Amino acid sequence: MLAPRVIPVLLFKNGVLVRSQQFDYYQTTGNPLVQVQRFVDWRADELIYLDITRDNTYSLSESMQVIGSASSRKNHDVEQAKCFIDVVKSVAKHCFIPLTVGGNIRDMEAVQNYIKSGADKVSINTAALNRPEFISEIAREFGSQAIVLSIDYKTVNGRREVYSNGGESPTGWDPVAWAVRAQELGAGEILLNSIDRDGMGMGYDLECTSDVLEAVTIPVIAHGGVGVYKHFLDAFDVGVSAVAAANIFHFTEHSVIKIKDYLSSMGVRVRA
Amino acid sequence: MSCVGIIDYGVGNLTSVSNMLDYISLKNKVIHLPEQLNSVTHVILPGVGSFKAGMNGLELGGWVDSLKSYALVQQRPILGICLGMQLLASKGYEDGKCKGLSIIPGVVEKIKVDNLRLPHIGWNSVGMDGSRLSLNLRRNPFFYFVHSYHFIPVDQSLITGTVLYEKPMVAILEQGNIFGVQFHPEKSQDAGQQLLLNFCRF
Repeated sequence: MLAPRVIPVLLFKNGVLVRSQQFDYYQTTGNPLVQVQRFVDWRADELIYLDITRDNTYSLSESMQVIGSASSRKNHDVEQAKCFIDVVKSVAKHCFIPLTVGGNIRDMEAVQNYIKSGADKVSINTAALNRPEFISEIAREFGSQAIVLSIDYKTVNGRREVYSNGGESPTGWDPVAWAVRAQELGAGEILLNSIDRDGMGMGYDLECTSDVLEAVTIPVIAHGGVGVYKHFLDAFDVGVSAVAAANIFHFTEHSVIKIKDYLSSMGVRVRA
Repeated sequence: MSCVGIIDYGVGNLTSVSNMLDYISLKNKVIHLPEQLNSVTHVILPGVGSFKAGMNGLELGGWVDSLKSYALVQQRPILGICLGMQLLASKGYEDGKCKGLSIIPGVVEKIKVDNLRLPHIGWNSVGMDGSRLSLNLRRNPFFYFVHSYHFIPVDQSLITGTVLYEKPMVAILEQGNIFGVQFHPEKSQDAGQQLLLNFCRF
């Protein structure tokens, strides 16, 4: 039967890999190409690369100022910052598992460039909120399976609301309603991100995740909040097709293997 | 010396297939014109997206007759991947009826499941003990699938690999030098690499 998927998410900002917490950033060292090989060797099922750059600075020295350096030690692994698309091209050369690329995808030309560069799927967020027909356009050209609709939401005054622009702009959409609309328009999967839980290590928002699962018939990928391996198990228990996480994969070596061993031992039939 | 031709007919991610073939040191090139079929020893027909878009691309590129001749008359090795395999059928029912290449008689229909999600996306194990593509693969290897439609051949004996998603579905078809796989070997890391190596033995 279809194995539940474990998907590391790599966040890329101004040319370097970063970790995030409630959509604020620190810098972490990490060569994107080395990371890919590690995850592939450790049996990650897919990879998601998100470019969360908010401006156009791609030079390393400028980005050190923007993000704030964690240490002044020179790290020879961090290459001179490249354009994100160049990173995608290099990553795709060695990535023999499915690669989803997203962040700042605003138009069809960007989608075409990423797919041509080797991405299998694109993740779209703000562009779809601004113009929902964009989902259908991509579906017509590349098929629904190429579209991962990413939904960022937070709970304000007890009400859940979708935010665009990297968590900055409220949209008025309820995440469940938006997921349903996205499926109607041709999205292949939903990547559901809780802004409140991002980087907090308290687990996924299982309630909202369950509500979305009940409302759509396409696969749902949970994202945002993992702290311990049990959080992955909890998400599979409510029925997600895949679990995505960023920070936890940067903490320990071989963590994908350990996570899969844990899940196996708890009865989740992941791919070995 | 083998050379694999990857057909560019306007759909699908050719780069991934080429990248994997490069990695396993199999000489390959993307071919844009049917005349180039004479310059390769093996052919891969990749593809993602809709049946109609696929057939449209093949027709516009002038591939239909050349591929039929290559596969059925010359009987040279061809591997259809995902949509590429589905296009080998007689007809597809995505968005209305559409004629296929009719290289392997059968139809392509929407997957019918009661309790599971569609598309069928992710890693699933393939029972392929009887397949000539199974050399050096462990039993029931996992491959990456992403599709909402599946192939139902007229001749069931051509099915050499099945995958279970509520019900068994065709994962591999083979007839002589014609092979079709529903999954994506180019996205299935080591299992995919071995399968492509096996295909190139023919």
